[in-house]
Amino acid sequence: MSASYQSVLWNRQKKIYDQVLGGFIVLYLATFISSNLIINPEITQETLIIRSFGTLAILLLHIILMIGPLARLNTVFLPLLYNRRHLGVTMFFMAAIHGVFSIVQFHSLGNINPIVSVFASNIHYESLTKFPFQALGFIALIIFFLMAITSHDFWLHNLSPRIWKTLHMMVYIAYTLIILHVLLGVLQFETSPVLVSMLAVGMIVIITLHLLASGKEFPTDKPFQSQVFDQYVMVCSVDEIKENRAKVVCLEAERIAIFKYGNKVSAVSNVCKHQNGPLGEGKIIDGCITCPWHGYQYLPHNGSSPPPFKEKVATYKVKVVNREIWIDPTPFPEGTEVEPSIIK
Amino acid sequence: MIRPLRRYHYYMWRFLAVLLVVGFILAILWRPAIISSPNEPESADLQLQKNHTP
Repeated sequence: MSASYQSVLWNRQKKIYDQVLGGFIVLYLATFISSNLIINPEITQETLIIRSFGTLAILLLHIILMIGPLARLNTVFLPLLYNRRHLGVTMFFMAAIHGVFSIVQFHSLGNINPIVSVFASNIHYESLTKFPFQALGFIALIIFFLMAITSHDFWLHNLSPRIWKTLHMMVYIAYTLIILHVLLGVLQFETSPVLVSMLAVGMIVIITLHLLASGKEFPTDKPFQSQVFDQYVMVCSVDEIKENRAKVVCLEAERIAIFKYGNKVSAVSNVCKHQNGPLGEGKIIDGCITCPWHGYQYLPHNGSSPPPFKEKVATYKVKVVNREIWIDPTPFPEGTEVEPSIIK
Repeated sequence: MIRPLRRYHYYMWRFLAVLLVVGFILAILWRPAIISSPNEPESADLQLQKNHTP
């Protein structure tokens, strides 16, 4: 969380994250290249680079796509989410090295532009076995490029979280293109079952995790059925909410997080202004609601980030009657002061 | 995430689950019987080279 833009807001967690990532990349490349040289000593340097960086990029892409649903399913994985964008940018660079070397190797010696050659040198678009699979990889690389250059918070703020998130959800389209790139490309002449099996396992794991996570999330969006009195909806008993934690309900258009802290209750929008993280799954630290994704903070009584920060979320009117929490589902404008309800 | 994106996520992964699994199975089943590397020249390419050799 920062009041001004910096290229990278380094802290101890990010440094450890990146050191582990760097170590993993070096270890993977060393293992892949040395084992390939042992198995096939005649392999060229260009082929080694193309294959090692290509497989590394796919592996990193699978890890990236696993982090989101894992964090939704279990909070143990939240630390992996914290610095996922560094992982994403690294994956783009690995994929770019694979792409650039492939284009130079296979498309730079003709008499047409190498980029045009990717799409025009093979025009068997009707064939499965001869499909120009490199075109699919190139389109995926463009999507990864757009994601990498807009990964900084500067773009998040200027594009708005909604547009930024929509843009970054194009990773699913890119993932589909990458799977097809491999299926219609290397798997059409790869005789070893190892690569096919690894890709199948990775794909099944990704799909299963995302289906489980979305299956867990989706029911929460069903309209909350409860008693209604004078615009207020009865949500739960105060005893159902742990100290400094929240209960999340979906009363109208969006989810609401109802926090209990001390002998007070306040309600704010569940959507963090940074990356739309689930505020209700965070906790109150130093008097502030703290987003579990990247630590953005808001004061529970007015939904505003403490100065000098400027983020604001909508607040809601709450009252506690006979230890029952009642909430008016009509949101106040973002950052509106609402007196917390006192638990008597 | 906001609600429309959660909805997109929910339906997108159901669609991808079908598309990717079916695509994977078809790509394996329809692999050519004789597997050859795309880097190897086809007979037509060799013929072209011969014709242009002075």
